[in-house]
Amino acid sequence: MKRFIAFALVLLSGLQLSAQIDRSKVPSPGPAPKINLEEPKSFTMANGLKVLVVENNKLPRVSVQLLIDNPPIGEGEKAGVASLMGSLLGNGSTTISKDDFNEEIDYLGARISFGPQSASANSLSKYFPRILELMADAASNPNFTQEEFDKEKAKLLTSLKAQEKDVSAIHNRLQNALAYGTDHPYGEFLSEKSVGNVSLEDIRKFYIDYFVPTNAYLVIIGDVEFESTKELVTKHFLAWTKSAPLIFNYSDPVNTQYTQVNFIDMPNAVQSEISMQNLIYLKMKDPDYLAALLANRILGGGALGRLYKNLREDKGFTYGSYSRVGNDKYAPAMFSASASVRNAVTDSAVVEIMREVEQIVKQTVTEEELKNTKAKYVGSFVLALEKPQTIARYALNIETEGLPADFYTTYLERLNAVTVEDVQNAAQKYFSLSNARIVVTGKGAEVIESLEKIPYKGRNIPVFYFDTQAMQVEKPNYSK
Amino acid sequence: MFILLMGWHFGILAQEVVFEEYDLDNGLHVILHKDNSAPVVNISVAYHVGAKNEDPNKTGFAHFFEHLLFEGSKNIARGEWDKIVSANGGSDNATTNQDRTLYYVTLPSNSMEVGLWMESERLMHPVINQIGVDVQSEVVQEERRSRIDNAPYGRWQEQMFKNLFINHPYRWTTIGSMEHLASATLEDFKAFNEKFYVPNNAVLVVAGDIDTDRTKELIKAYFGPIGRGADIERKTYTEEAIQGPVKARFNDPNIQIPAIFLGYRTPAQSKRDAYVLDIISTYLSDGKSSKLYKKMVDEQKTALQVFAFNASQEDYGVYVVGGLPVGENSLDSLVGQIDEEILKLQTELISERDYEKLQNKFENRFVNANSSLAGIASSLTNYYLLYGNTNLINDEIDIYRSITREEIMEVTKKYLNHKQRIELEYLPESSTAN
Repeated sequence: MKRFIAFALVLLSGLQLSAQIDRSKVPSPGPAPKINLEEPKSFTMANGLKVLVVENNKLPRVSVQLLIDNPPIGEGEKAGVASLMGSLLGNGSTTISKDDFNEEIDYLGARISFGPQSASANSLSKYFPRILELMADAASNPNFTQEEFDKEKAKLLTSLKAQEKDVSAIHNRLQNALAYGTDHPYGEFLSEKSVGNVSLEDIRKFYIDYFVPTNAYLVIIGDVEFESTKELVTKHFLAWTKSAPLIFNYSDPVNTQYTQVNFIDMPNAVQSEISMQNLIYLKMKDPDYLAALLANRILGGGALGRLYKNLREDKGFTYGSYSRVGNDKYAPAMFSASASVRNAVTDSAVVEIMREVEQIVKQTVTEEELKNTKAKYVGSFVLALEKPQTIARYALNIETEGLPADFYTTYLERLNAVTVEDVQNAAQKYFSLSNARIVVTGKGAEVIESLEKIPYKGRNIPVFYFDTQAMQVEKPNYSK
Repeated sequence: MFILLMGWHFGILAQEVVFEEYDLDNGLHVILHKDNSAPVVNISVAYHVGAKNEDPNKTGFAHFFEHLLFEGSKNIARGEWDKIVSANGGSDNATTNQDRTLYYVTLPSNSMEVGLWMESERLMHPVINQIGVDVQSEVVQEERRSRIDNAPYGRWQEQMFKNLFINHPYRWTTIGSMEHLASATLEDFKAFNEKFYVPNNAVLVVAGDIDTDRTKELIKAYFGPIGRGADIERKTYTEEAIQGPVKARFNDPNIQIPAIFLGYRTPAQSKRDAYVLDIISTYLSDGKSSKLYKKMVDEQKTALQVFAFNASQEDYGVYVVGGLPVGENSLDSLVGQIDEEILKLQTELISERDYEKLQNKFENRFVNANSSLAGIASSLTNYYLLYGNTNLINDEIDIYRSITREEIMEVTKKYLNHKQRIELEYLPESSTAN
């Protein structure tokens, strides 16, 4: 009876309800949602290909991803061979012509694309069997022809030229080249010369050496059923011959001996790209991985980060300033704190970025910051459940990063256990003050004078000059 | 095999997006979409105001104002907005275009009320002060430098639209001019808020893991007390047909490879012809077997890249086709190759097989359009606010399906007329012509 009366009141007056809210404070959230993490089904083929299947019939579609998790590959004198090989894949196969291949994929409204160490496809589920077959065929029986090779080479050379005045593209190239050195797989980059050195025979060799199933994963997500999918995959990927990748040797890169600015002149720049960076050894399976993520997020993750609050919301220097901390199981990863700022405030922005890195290294973060940042991670973890790709990604990470099987089921618990001291330890370990490389790409004529006068530990931070090919040069004479 | 295929067909019925919609007394339009498959909720509020509602001497205002509405409200102090969103595990942002401004947040569903509270605060009593205007003026100018002035090919749109539109406010860009941004005053924004940020000019969409009855109660409690605003007077602008072709040229210091952009003015996005133009751009440049890609990039190898797209907008659309040459090929030669294909479309019916291909592509696109809560929410918003028909989220595919080969030919003739287009040569700084 009481319930009935309450119901009638609701119908009569909305004001009754308005009285129940209090605008003056943040509403309290309801009980935390229950999280169910399903696991993909999986199997391994005799040639080494590992297959993960996530059945999700919410929409009548399927996505397929092929990832080859090989150690870093150095291309050296022939930098460009990987990229060219990737663009030559997916042009039909030894049994189907390029035109017929492209025509059929488009006709089915689907997509298939290839990279040097990957492939992906998506289609409506009714066409999935055929699309999978076409993808497997193109991956296992490529037809590399001189005509296609010449065309892709001409396109690649034109794209390289297109980048030459792109301030942010050059900056990214230099960030890696300076950190790793141009002899390292992560530091090398393509040039007109290196692309010119690549021949069709190099493409064939690269394919045989590296496009192999030993470290490969095929992830299928969508409106499929496991058993029949397993049959299809087994049938179509049978032709992909078992083989392990060639192992490439390279020396470990090292951080700078002292903090310095590395400047690259781009006379067309109206903003300077700034990155304060250092190399780090961090893997997902390291015990302080979550502490490192939290430290990074408090420093420069999104709108709540200190960099954003300082350089954007307080100073108005930039549209956004962020930091990121990488992880890598093969080689050092990179930490960097970056911003794109107008020319006039380039030196001030460098000072503020350094100040924020110094602050988080020297002082513990507040409990409130840590609490809000953890909440953000918890939220992201929950929001990710919306996508069927998430459980595939988790399973893949467990496999490829050597994580314990309960890495994700205990994720929130472990996140919660991180203390402000853990965060500071991670900041001290991974964010460098005395061995930082501050890469600045901008218009020398307008920014260099003030950039040379940034005091640090009683003297000005030394500035070294580089050209866009990462070669160190004498200080140029920037004419106004 | 037959049985397998049957299995894959299953599920096609599951894709209808179920929603309900209603108005509050103050005119706020509400759309609810329930999907309890993950504990996630997406809340968005869109206002029917964009760059086209700006004073020609104050361009960039709608977007600038979007930035200011993150400054705080009567009950949310400056600097607290992002903290509250993060503390509740949410992720939020906003976008402004020529026609509308959209604010959205995705939250774990147990924090839905927080999202409703914040959006109602933003509408009911935002606090905008001088310090916010001063800082965001700098921030937006940096946004312009990052996205436009320091970016390769960043200014083609500005250059194209100012030539395509003479009377309509589509002639200026959403980001606006540096001078206008720098001179904005607090009073300008207060007036803008009073005029456009009223419930009768907004739509609230709540999508995801919700209890419908409780959600309705909360919406009424948070948004109900907000006063209705004056009706908004909407101006219409008509453009005369372009007498051309009009040649335009722009030098971009950030590029090395020139580009050609051919622009045509097309009808409002809600018109049937606009849908036909979507199909035509897919026919010309979507996929490796599309006409322009196959001919120019693949076979004749004259272009690094080709593109054709129909930029849909509320009052007029813009159809753009163009490309970037490989090596020494001239922009004129690209134009010649593009025109051959357009001429074919104007004089011959496309093949039956190509027609089926287009249908398959649009079916695929339709299925993928409704694959995330944010995508569904944004579609519900746009169809209600800019097309006046929320049901298009389920029915739009029928429009594409009903378009005939004959219509494709007619529409190409009607709108892709080379005498009524802008030919924009987009060149590196040092170069003068091709």
